[in-house]
Order: sequence, then C-alpha cells, then structure tokens
Amino acid sequence: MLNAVPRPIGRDALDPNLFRYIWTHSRRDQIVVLILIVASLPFYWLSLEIPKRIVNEAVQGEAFVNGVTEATLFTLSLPLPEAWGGTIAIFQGFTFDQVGYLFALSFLFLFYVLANGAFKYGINILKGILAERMMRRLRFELFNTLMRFRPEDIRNVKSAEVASMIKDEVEPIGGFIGDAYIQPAFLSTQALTAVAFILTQSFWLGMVAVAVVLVQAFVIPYLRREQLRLGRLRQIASRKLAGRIGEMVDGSRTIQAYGLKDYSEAEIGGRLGNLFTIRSALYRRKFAVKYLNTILAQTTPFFFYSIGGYLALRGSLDIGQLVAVIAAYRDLPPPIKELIDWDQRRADVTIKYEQIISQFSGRELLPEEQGGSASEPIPPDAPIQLSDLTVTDQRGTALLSGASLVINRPAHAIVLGSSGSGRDILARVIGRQTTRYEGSVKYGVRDLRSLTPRELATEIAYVPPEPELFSGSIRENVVMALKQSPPTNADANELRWREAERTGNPTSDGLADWKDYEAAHVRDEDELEKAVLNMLAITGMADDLYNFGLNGTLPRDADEALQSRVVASRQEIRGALVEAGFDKLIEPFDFARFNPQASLGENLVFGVVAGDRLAGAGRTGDAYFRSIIAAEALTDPLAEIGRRIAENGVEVFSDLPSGHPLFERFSMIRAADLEYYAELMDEYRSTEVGARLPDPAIDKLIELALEYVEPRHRLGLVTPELTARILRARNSFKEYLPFDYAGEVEFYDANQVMRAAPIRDNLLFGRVAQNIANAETRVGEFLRNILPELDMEGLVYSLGLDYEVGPRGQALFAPQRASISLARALIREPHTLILEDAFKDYGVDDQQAILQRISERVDGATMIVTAPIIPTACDFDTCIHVDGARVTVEANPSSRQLAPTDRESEAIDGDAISAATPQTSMEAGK
Amino acid sequence: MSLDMELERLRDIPMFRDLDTAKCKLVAMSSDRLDYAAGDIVFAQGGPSDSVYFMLDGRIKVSRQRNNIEIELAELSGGAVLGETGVICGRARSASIIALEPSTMLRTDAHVFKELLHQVPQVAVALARELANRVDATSDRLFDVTHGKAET
Repeated sequence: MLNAVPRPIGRDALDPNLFRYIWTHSRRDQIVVLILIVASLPFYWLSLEIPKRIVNEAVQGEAFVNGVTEATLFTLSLPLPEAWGGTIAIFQGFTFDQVGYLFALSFLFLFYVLANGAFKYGINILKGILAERMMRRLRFELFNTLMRFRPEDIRNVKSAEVASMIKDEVEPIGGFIGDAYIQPAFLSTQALTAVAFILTQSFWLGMVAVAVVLVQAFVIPYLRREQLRLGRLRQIASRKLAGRIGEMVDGSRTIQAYGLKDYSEAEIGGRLGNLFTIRSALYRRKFAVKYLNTILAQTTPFFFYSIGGYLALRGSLDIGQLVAVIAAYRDLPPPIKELIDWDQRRADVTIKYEQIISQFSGRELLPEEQGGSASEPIPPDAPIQLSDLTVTDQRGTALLSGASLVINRPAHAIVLGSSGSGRDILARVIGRQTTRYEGSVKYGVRDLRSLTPRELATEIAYVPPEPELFSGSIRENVVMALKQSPPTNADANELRWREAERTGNPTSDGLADWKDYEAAHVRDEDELEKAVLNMLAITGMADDLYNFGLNGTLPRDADEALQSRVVASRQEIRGALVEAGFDKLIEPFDFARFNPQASLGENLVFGVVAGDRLAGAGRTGDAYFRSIIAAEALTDPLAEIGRRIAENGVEVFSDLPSGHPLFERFSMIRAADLEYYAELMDEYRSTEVGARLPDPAIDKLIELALEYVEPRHRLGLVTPELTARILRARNSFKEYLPFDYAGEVEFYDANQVMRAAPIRDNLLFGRVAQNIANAETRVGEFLRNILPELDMEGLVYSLGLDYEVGPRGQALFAPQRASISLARALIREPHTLILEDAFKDYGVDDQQAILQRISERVDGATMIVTAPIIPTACDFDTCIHVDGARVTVEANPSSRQLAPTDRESEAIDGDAISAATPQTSMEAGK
Repeated sequence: MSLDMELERLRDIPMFRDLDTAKCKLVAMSSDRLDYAAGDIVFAQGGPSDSVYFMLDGRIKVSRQRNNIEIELAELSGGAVLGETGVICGRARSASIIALEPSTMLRTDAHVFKELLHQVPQVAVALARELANRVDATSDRLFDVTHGKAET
C-alpha cells in the first residue's frame, strides 16, 4: 500500500463546483453588487412610473382640473399617526404651471434614466473587476496546484496543454464568473420589477406580460437546445466528410486504379445528403426560434394596444397607465433573452470548468510551507535510512525490491548499475523525485515525504540527467537555486499587494532580491558573483563563459572610469600584439580600408548601430540609408548577394527546428523570416529573367546582404569593385549623416569606447582573421594572458554570466546546459548532492575531471552519484550495487578496485583496445 | 576557395560522399575554413579535443610522442577527417597533426560536430561504419601481433 502523502496544507484543493468556488472566494464582492442591484430597483420603478404622470397629470392636465393653475412637486413629509400629530410637512416643494410641470416631470424622468444608467455602469465595473480577480485567483491556483504535483505526476503532464489551459481555456470561465450570480440577479429583478409594475397598472395586461415571459423562458430554451444539438451533429458530420475527402484524395491513385470512382462518389454523395438533412433541420429549427421571437415581440403590443385600449375606453385604465405599461413591456424582452443566453453560457462554462479541474485534481499533492512553526531541522550528519523500499512500474514490475540500507552522512556514495535499471530509480527516491513507493525513506528521523519544499531544498540538491534551464541569463539560472524564501515586502500595504492578497496570490515581489546569500555562504552580490564563477569553473564552463563574455557588450550603466579603462586596455593590447607579432592576426578598423572580417553593413557605416532607426530590418527601409546605397549604385549588387544568401539559407536551414543552436549560430536568416524567404525564392524563380522584384522584397534581400562576411560565409560574393563602392558609401554616410541620426551609430574610433559593440571588438579594435590557421586560438590565448594584467578579466566573465540561454536553454549545447545545472546545485551548498547520470553529456575526460572537482568541493557533505563510468578520479565511501531490482551495499570500496557493471566492462575493454590501436586509424581518420 | 569548391572537396571524404547537397552545405557553413602553411601544427597531442577537422587539400603528418620519441604514424593527403575520435570519446588529442605543405581544412567546433551528428543521421551512420571498420581492422592486427606472428 502506498504511504499517504500529507494532504494539502494551508490552501484548499480546487472546488469541483464552479458556483461554490465563485461564492467561496467572492462572497463579499458579490453581496456588494447585489445590494447595489436592489438599490437600483426603486429608481427603475420610478423611471417607469414618471411617464404615466407626464401623460396623465401634465399632458392631459389631470393635475390642473377644477380651476387649479399650479401643481406642486418634490414635497417632503413625514407621515406620523394622528395621535402624534399627524403628517408633518418637511419641505413644501416647488409649484409649477402646466408647462413648467411638464418640463419638471420630464427632467425628473431624465434624472431617473441617468440614475439607472449610472447604476448599470457601477454594476458592470464591479462585475468586471470581480471577474478579473477571480480569473487571477483561478489561474494562480491552477499553477500552484501544478507546482505541488508529485514529481512523477508533473513529469507526465503535457506542458503545452496545461499552459494553454491556464492561459486560454480559463479566459471564457473568467468572463462568465462576473456574470454567474450578478447577471441573473440583475436581469431577473429588472424583469420582475417590470412585470410587477405592469400588474399594478392592470391585472390583465400583467397576465399577458407573464404569459409572454413564460413562453420565452421555457419554449425558446427548449427549441434552442435542439438547435445546439443539431449544430454539434453538423460539426461532426462536416469533420468526417472533410477527413474522408482528404483520405480519398491521398488514395486517389488506388481509387482510379481499381475503378472505385463511382463507388467513392456515391459515398461522398451519401455523406453530403446526410449533412443536408442535418443542415436543413438546423435551419428549420433556427428560423422557428427566430420566428417565435419575432412573433412574440411583434404581437404582444397588439394585446397591449387592443386590450389596453379597450380597458382605457372602459375607464378601468387611464392613458398614462397604458403608455407606462407599453414602456415597461419594451424593457422586458432583453432581460429574458439575456437570461436565456446566461443559462446557455452557464452550461458551457460549467462543463469547461469541470474539465479543467479534472486535469488538476484527483492527485496527491506535496505539502506546502507551514508559516511560523518550523519543524526541527535535520542534522547534516543524520543518516539516510531506506527500509524495505519497493518501487514498481505501472505494469507492476519491480524496479527496486525490498531494499534496506543506511547511508551514513557525510559520505560520498556511488550507485552502480546499468542505465535505466533500479540504479536511477534509487537516486530518484532518495532525491524525492518519486514518491510512489512502498517502505520508508528517512533523513534522520524525518520521513522524506513529509519534508516541505523549502526543507527539501535545504537538505537535498538533485541534478537530473536532462538539465532544466529557463529563459534568462546564465547567472540567473545558477542563482535561482538561492531563491526559496520571499524577501520582506516593505510595501505590503501598496495597492498591488492588497489586490494580490484578495485573490489568493503571493504578496512577495518577484522582482525583489530573493537571493539567500547565507545559503551560498557569501555576504553580498560581489561575493556571490565570484561563487557563481567558481561553481561554473568547477563544472567545466569557464572557457565558454569567457568566450560568451568577449562577445558581450558593456553594461548600460558602465561609468566613465570603466569606459576609459577599456580604451586604455585597447592601447596596451595593441602594443602587446605588435610585440608578440600577433598584429597580423587582427584586421584593424581603419576608415580608409575595407575590413574583410566585418560584415558589409559594418563596413558601410564603419561602426556599430546603436539606435533603432538603422537596426536590423528597419535599416533598409530608412530613407537616408537607402539614399546612400542608391547613390553608390549598391542596391542591385546587394540585392543579388542577399538573393544568394537567401537561396543557401532556405536550402540548408529549412529542416532545422527554430531555436536549434545550429540555426541560431549559423543561419543569417531569422527563424521567423525563413518562410518569407522561401516564398520569395519561389517567386524569384518563377519571374522572368530581368524582371525586378518588388521594393519590399529588395529591402529584405539587402537586409541579408548587409550581414555578409566573406571569410565566414564564403560564397565568393565580395569583389574589389564592390568593396570600392562600399568605401565610397562609407564616406558619404559619415559626411552627410543628418544631425538627428547622431545617436544611431557609434563610429569606430580608436579613442572612444563603442558601447554597442562586443567587448572583444573594443579591446582588439579590429577583427581576428578567421581564415588564418589558429588565429582565433592564438589571439584567445593572448587575451587570456593579458586581460588579468589589465584588470579586465572579471568584466569579461561577468559579461559571460549575462549570456542569455534561450527558452529551455536552447541557445546552449548539451554539456553547457549540464554545467549550469550542476553549478545551480553546488551554489546552495546542500547537505546531500544527488547526481543522476548528470555527466552523460560530457566526454570521458571532462566527466572524470568535473566529478573530481565536484567531489573535492562537496568534501564534508554527502554526494550520491549514478553514472555509467567508473570514476577512477575520486574515492567513494560507499558503493551501492543495483542488479535488476536487487540492491547490495559495499562499504569502503575505494580500498579495492570497484567491480564494474556490464556496460562499464565494455567501456574498459574498448579503452584497452584503443590503447593498443595504432593511432593512424583511431585519430587521423584512416 | 568558394563554398561550392569546399563542397566538392568534402565529397572526397567517404562520410560525405552520398550526402545530399543541403546537408553538405550545412556541414561547410557550420565550419571555419583555415589555411595552414607547411610546418604549421594543426593540433598537438594531449591538447583538448575541441574541434574536428575536415582536410580539403594539402598533406599532413600524423605523429605520436612516447618517451620523448616521436613516432610517425601516417602521412595523409586529400580528403580526410581528423580528430573526430577524441571529440566523440571526450578524450584529449592522442596524436599531433602537422601540415607538410600548404593545406586547407574546415574546422568544426566539437559541440557543433555533435549537433551535426544528431541533425544529419547519415553522417552519424557513416562515421559509425568507419569507426567499426577501424575497430575490426585493429582487432585483426592485434590478433596477428599476439597470435599470428608468434605462430609464424
């Protein structure tokens, strides 16, 4: 039997009943709006009542009979019993003649109309805010629930589906939430008020109104239900028809070869007939509903005019009452119709809500943090005890069977076993990456499953075989491990936090500094930066960081001192390069010379684009830039270069998924533009020779050409004539640059820093000749040696940490992702570090070296490693063998050679062979 | 040498012989072209296996140093792949490569090469076949050394 995971603490599980959920969380707001609705009713009633008085008293002059020439309005009195002195007049009111009385009543009517409008406005605003609050709450609770899924459950969730549920599918529910209680309350009270008003004027006319309402309330929804059913049938039949036609088109060769044309046509004809039957029934139903609605709307006045007129003639109803009844009736149909619509939306949204909730419920959730009473911390030297641990897969096959063992802490343990065996499961259980097991796992006296997320993070750092990175910089991906505890919120009373509290959202600022410096044993940001660099160096990322840094740009807030330091370093580097004889490896930025190592665009502007006007796609559309290109007759040659690039790019990169590192690194065409260029190339191929592409297409091609670097892209497109024209264009560009373009370009200037250019360009003031053998390596080594002397190394590494890893780390290669994932675990200095096949993305030498460095780093803490290698580089205190589902423990294995697994035996054999292999064949490709 | 010529030369290397043009271009466009003068070291034994080289033309020497004695293992000219074993195994360079005459190479970063193997399975299969052949040949020679020669 599964051990029960503690039920959710602190937050209710999602309520499967939508209306109950809404009421529970928005009761107060709902009641406020309902009070407002009730308060609006007298005004509504009076807006119906006044027209009657206008007709009777003012127009027909009932208030002015028997010689009365004035009538009084707005009198205010307090009716008291006779014993207390009778009615007391508080305000005598205003007196009017007949015309004045008419206008006074009309303005009073206008006032009530405006008051009704104001009530509606207020109700709608409150309703909208209430709906938004509830949607915020619902979205957050779904996300919160998801984050509390057990690791094995969350791994089975389809991320795109769940994201779409939280983002898109919740939207219509949110729209309905505001209406859930308020709409029926508002509409029905308004309808009841109108009916009551009619009844008070005339019982029979009231009965007519009630009859119309009843027909609308019962008959029309019934007819509509059938209409909806037929609509669904039509959708299904259409979809099937489309599928079948598609299938037949795909299989048309078989249909024709076997002479199945008539048979296929008969089948499609039959389907079309079925569709016709459904559609005609649907139209009949649809127009029946419409007809009934129209009839009701148009014949009811007949009853009011005929019956009302008859009653008026008989004297049992006056003209004013008749006018008021007709006005009140005119208000009736919209509420009824909207109530019917509300009911339909209720049905749809309830189903949708239940569907969403079902995806998030029925699972055991991990416990939440408990405020205040923290549990006893687990001593770092408390042993890990596994008792009778059994894990089975979904088919009931045992992955681990009755394992009982103790891992004393601190210790370095290795779990050996073939990949995919119980070896990885054991690591996952100890790292609480799965909680579906029998038996018990304890850290000291605490059951592993009872640890809160924060306790778990303090105790264990688990590194999965597949690194999980998030959009953001390398730095952010590492230090995120230090963000468990919310910082103190200084502005807790600020409106946004009060709003967050109302909607069950966190009241902690996600943008504040969450980093727990203490956990990383550092005091401040500077020390943390060093620690991050240190961890990344341990995990083999230093060289990559360095290269990323050299390609980074100076921080926006770089002060004058730093800029001066960069310029001074540039001059030092130049001298040292000449001294070392490396100056030939650099193509300097020289205004008089074309730089083959720079792009055509960089050559043209002789600088780096700093503003938006000349950046990327906007550049070719810029009037000034276009005029410079046109003046040197560069439009056609550049467009031709662009065409060649587009042709190659479309051919080579179309098959690569967007975001793939090869695409990001080598494609000159952005992923979003690939389809455009593919179509453009098709268009180009189909146009006649000599025909000109449209201007926007020419712009797009020039945009590509401006990124072209001959030694890198090697299409052989740069001719001496072209370079001469570009140099002339460079002169014109600089000479005639309009005043308001001043901030758009940073020209290469040996005495100025180029903030928008990579730091490498700033330091070298030129480009490394890519085609000279080992130039890149030699210059790289040269910089490595000189930058510490110039106190610039720290800046370069810091810029490297700023490198954006892309969504899910896609901008990086697998070993780089693995290094960041490992550094993230190390920065927390956890009591227990668990590495599940975490080195699989590295080469053998790197695996050994990184493991050795990590082992030294976590000396004194506990490390549990599973890896398909024998880590000869470091010693282990404990060796856990997992053979199938059976687990055995060997203490002090470092005293003798570890017994390898089958896979490792193969690896050793392979090494033995390669050691004895003549290197001609192994290394040189022959 | 333009990209088109590079593609022609790449086709001299067995693993690219049957590869379609687009994939061949992907390999070339993902690489830097480097020109070596006679005597230049392409890479040295013990250095990091950070890249794979495709020799397009020229002539090189493969040598290995043991106990301060340099043993020349082979001379190669024309299309050849260099340094791929070290990249795949993640081990340091096991031999040195020196250009004997002006030579042109395409240099592919190790990470990029591994991605190419994922993206272009034909190259991965051709490389696996090549390596399997080498293991086979090596086993035969090992057998000859330990048994065959002893018997004769």
